[in-house]
Amino acid sequence: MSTIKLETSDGVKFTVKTQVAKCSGTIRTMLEDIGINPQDGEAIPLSNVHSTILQKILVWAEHHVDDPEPPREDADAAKRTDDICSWDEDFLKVDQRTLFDVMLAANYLDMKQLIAVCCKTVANMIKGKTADQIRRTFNIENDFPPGEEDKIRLRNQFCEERSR
Amino acid sequence: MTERRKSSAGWKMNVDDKACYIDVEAEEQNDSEEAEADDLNPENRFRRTTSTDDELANGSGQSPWCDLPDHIMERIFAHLSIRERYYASLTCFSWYQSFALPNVWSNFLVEDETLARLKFNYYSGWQPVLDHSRTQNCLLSVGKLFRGLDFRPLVSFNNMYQFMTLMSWAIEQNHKQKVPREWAGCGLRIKSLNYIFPCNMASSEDPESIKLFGTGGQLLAALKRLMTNLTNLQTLKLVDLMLERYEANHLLDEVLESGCLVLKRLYLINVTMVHCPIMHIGLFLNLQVLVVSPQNIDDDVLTLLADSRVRHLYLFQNRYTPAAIAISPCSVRGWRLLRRDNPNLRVHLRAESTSGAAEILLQPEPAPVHSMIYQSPRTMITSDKLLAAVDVYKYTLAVYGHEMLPDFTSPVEFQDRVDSLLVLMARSCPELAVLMIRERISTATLLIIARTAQNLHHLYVRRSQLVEECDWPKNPDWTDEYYQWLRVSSASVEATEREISQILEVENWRALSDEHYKMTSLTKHVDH
Repeated sequence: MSTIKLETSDGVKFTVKTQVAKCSGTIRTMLEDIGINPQDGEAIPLSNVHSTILQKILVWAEHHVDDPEPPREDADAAKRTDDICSWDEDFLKVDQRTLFDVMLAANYLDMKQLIAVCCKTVANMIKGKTADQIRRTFNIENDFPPGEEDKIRLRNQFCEERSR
Repeated sequence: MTERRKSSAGWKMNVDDKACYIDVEAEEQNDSEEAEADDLNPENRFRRTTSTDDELANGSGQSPWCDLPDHIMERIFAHLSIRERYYASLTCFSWYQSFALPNVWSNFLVEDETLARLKFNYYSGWQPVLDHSRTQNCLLSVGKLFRGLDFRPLVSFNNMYQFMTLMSWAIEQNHKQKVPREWAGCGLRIKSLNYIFPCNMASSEDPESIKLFGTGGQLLAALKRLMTNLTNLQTLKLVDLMLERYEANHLLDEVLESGCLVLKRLYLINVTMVHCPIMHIGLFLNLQVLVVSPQNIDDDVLTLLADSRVRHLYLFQNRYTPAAIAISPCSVRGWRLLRRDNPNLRVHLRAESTSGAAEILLQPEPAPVHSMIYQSPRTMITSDKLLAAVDVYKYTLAVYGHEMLPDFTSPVEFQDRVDSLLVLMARSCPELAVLMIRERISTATLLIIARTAQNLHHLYVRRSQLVEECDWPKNPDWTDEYYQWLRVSSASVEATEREISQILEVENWRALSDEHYKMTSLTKHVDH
């Protein structure tokens, strides 16, 4: 089974099965379209990914390498967030910083399925919370200029049921 | 009607009676470029990929969560309900801006509770009732971002009616001589409309006696008005309307007038419960994909399709479609004509049922049937049905399979199993490229299929249903070498997998776990 080497931003080299590495659209493009030859023993530099995150992502890719191609996204499936498989759910039970970094690295590596499952996880963290609770969850600071908040609140108020 | 249709070919009159050229192709290209640009925008992707401790640890600067690329924020917001999007938008300025990103609102789902408020009804208690002022504000705020409308009513049909009417009204404002500025563009980007009617609503209490309801009356009138207004509609999906014949005959009158050139994909599933051919479907000039139930086509429709640009014709049966024996297929003559005049058209037969055993209605021989797909837990492969299908479609059949896991157990003994039938199929159908088997077969059978079917590229089987055995007696046509290979390779699933990888020329072919099998869909092999 062929393998390739990947080098992370902090200089750590990983030897990875080619098939697993190809879960990343970015790496697939490098190998297939640009024609980088993995036999050279040269490592592909991933200057935007830290080794701790790449390690985590490779665990995910290893687990999902045999997944069938997902059916074309239909509107129904795209909106659901309760269909995360239990393995992924456990996989993403990490601190927020790791979740955030995994998400950005998945974005950089162009791993559509991993991005999708991360987005669903974050959506689930938002669901059912008030603005204040969301701010506390993600440590977000209220940065609306004073006085603006009420205007902004009014503008999209159609979203909220009126009290009966 | 024909008068107007002619005049709209390529050139069209706009509201000011000025001619404007409608170039559908170009517009679509722009769209896809836009989408691609979103995805590939290097700033989005490379903006940042790691966070530093500082940012997440204490209050120095805004949380990194406020700095995610737009296309990720769009996806997160799209997963939220309308109210949840609102609450998220109130957290910080960056998320407030994400609220109005186009892809957050591109597909707008209308359900019973959408934009509703609860009202007490003496007979049925608290009921969701569409809130007009909220709906109006919603359309004013994000209506111009809508690209698709998706109606999924359960019981509140009045809400659907009201929403459709308000939406139509908003779009109609754009047809006025002087367009009110606040309504400019509202609904004009809508390209797809889905409407799935829950015709089994009476069955919830008593599943045995399914009482079927169709749509109709005021609701149908509102739907037709909306369809008339959606002049850029490229995809239209109407599922389980179950109309009366007189309604069905006029269902598409207005759509044909407004969308004759634009419509590309049309799904009409169970427009009626009875035989009722719908001629309109053959008249859309640029239609490419047509999905229709077999009771709604006949030889005359085929004649129209013969002159059309339709490339994929799906004959779709679901649990509400009358049983295969109750519908009659089109005639040999009709199919022959279609095949002669539209040689690129492919026919796909599909039957779905969640409860009963779905059976596909076979069309006679010259029908260019490219795929046969079942999605039904109870449909078993039987010799008479498989042999009949192989007999009529052997020269065109490329995709055959049963999706989802069965709720029966396959027979254990070789002579009761489907092994020999599948081998016969592999031998008889030279075009067979995709095969999805959920029943129990032996590893030897799998190897024989892979070796026999010359064009096979994709083979899906359940690992749990593989019998590691060479249960085939030696066939006089086989060489000793072949039989020896068969016996050795079938001894274990791993050995079989290695051999099949080689035969199919795929890296690392594997039998699927049941979980993977359940997720596998053949649609990707069928649609272009």
